[in-house]
Amino acid sequence: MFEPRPKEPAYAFVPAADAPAVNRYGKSIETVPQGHELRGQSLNINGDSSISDNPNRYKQHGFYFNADNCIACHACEAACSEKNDLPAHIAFRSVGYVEGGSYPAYQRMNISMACNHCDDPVCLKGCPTLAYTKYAEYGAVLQDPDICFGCGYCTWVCPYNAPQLDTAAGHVSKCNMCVDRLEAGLKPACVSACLAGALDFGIIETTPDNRDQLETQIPGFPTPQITHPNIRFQQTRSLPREMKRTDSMPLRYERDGQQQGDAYKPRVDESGAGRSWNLNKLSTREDPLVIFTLISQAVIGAFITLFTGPLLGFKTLSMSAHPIATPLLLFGLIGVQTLALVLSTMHLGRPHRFYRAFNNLRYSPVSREVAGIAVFYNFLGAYTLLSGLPMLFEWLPVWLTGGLIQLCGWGAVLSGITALYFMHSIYRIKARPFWNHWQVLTSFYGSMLALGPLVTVLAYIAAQALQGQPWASATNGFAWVIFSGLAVEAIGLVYHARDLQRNGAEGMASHYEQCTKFGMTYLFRNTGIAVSMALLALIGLMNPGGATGLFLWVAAAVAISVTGLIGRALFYALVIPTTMPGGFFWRNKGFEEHARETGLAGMPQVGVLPGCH
Amino acid sequence: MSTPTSKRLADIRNDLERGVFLSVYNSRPQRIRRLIARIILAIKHGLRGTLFSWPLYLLPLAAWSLKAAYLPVILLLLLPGVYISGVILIRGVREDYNHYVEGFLLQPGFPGRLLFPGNFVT
Repeated sequence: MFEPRPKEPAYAFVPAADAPAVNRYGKSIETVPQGHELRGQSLNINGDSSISDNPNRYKQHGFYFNADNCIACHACEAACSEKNDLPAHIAFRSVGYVEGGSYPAYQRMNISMACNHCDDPVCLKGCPTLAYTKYAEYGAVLQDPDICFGCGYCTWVCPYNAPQLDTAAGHVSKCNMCVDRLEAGLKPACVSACLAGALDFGIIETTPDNRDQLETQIPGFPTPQITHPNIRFQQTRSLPREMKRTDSMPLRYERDGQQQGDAYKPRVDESGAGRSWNLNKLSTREDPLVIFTLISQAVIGAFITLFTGPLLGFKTLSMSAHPIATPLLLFGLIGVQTLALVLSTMHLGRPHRFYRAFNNLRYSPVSREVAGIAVFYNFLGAYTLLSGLPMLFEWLPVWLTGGLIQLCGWGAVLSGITALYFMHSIYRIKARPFWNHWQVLTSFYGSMLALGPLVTVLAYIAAQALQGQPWASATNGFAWVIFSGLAVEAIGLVYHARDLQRNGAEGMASHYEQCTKFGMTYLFRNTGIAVSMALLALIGLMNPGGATGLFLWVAAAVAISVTGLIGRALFYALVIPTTMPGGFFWRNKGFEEHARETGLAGMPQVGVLPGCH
Repeated sequence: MSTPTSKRLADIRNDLERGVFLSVYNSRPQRIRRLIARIILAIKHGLRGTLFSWPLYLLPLAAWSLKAAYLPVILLLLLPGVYISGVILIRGVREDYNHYVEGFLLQPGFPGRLLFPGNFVT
């Protein structure tokens, strides 16, 4: 048990207070009822099996932040880092700020933020490894870094930037509510260290001493409707109607009405920048996922084309028409899909724990996607083995081999389509409005329809040409399938841009960056899709053969591949989460980029890891 | 049920206890058990890896049965996958070895702990 210091002052202890039965979201503040089996259990902190006699142990606790008092001294950050022995690049609690007005009426509002131990913790549901647990004790959401394999999905879904991905250690860690101190009745270390009386802690919905308000929002804080966070605010000082972030995100917060109590809403902070390319900034930590998603969609599309093509009348795609090329293409698909899986696995902080990705099939879209791709990969392997190497199965009855081939083929088709649906649902994150749109689905299925048949048709042209056979007559059907894939993607992109502008907030800020910082790249990608569609329409209508046909197909293939790659890189580079405001140096993507470019990141005290995004 | 592991060497502060521990730790039966543990972990992680990546190992079969001219292409696709699988396997074995074997006196029943560590959580 944590040992309180001798002569610990009374204010260091969590006060006993009468709390209402339910919080403002209608959830019981008592985490488990009397007599529940979860009561009376030890938290086993550092192997200590003792059980605290804190009478409020089974009530939801939360932080309280008084924005009027915070002076941004960062003592809370320092206390937290010292208590949890954190490296310089990780902070479970961090202080950011928004500012507004002009001299001499300049105003700055500081926000100290850590994990809010939410009623509906999206990190817990999203984690594929089940590393998160919401405990009955204090309602704390705790994360076990020893279970985590470092995929970082919790850092995507959390609207408050609470889980911290330590790319050096290869795992995520986060605020643990200082449950060891709570067991001894003490407030968390950050609260104890607060000089100005800005931070406090207690049973949720109870007002600490000398405080009046129990607000759920202040300027810069994301909507509490996503996760029902257990934090309450006080902010009585009058603020300008418009507050700006000091980090590089193009966002400001604007009050709806004239009254001080009216809510602040995020708006795009237009800097008037023109269109740029910024190709070097397309590269992010998620580069392996760019490759993984595109390859998976291409392989699934190619397999569906190969398997269903002969059934739909494309006899030239059958195994009997090309006994060497078709198995070779199937084996090639296995090889390429393996490379994609390898890339996505090595992208984890701890790749050797990949098998834990299946732990949370019930809730996590990551688990479901991995399972879907694994099932597809296995069916693909079995189908390829049975149909590509029939000499190995001559001892089996023909009807059985045929039945198994059909079973594996249809299994791969269905699991592939399902896997892509789960792949899309990974990105339907409320805290990332740029992704939270049905366009992700049209993009993924569009890529499947475009890239898959493209791979197949190129292999087919090569096989026919090597045999000296004509190839033009059978390819126009492919051209229209690929055209439809690109059309699906284009329609999604048009609606996506329209909805981002309509909905405003972080999504519109992403769209603003899309049109300015990456404006030329965005234009190039859109033009590329249009050019690809025009080339395919030309092929489909004219059905050219010989050198002209080959030239058109190669041009279309290059255009589709390049635009697909740029589009997917933009997808990851543009997202702006509904995260807390940062500071000028801290939690500022712009400063991090600057530190890496100038070499400042080489100094550990700067708190930016070199070579990471 | 017998305890599959002992106190860990790193947790022993007393010199006498440490000396006694090391004499047993370096004994022949313990060294044999650690070797068996290594083999068990390699088999466990190898089987788990193969369960997920077996289609990769069809590629040499294809190379063998199809025209030899395609061998370089297949090896190009195969080798990176096999290399990374090996890296993942070694890291997995090393992590489990450090977690469950290194610095412990292995008692009878230790293979169970290595194969199903979740059943031994206290």
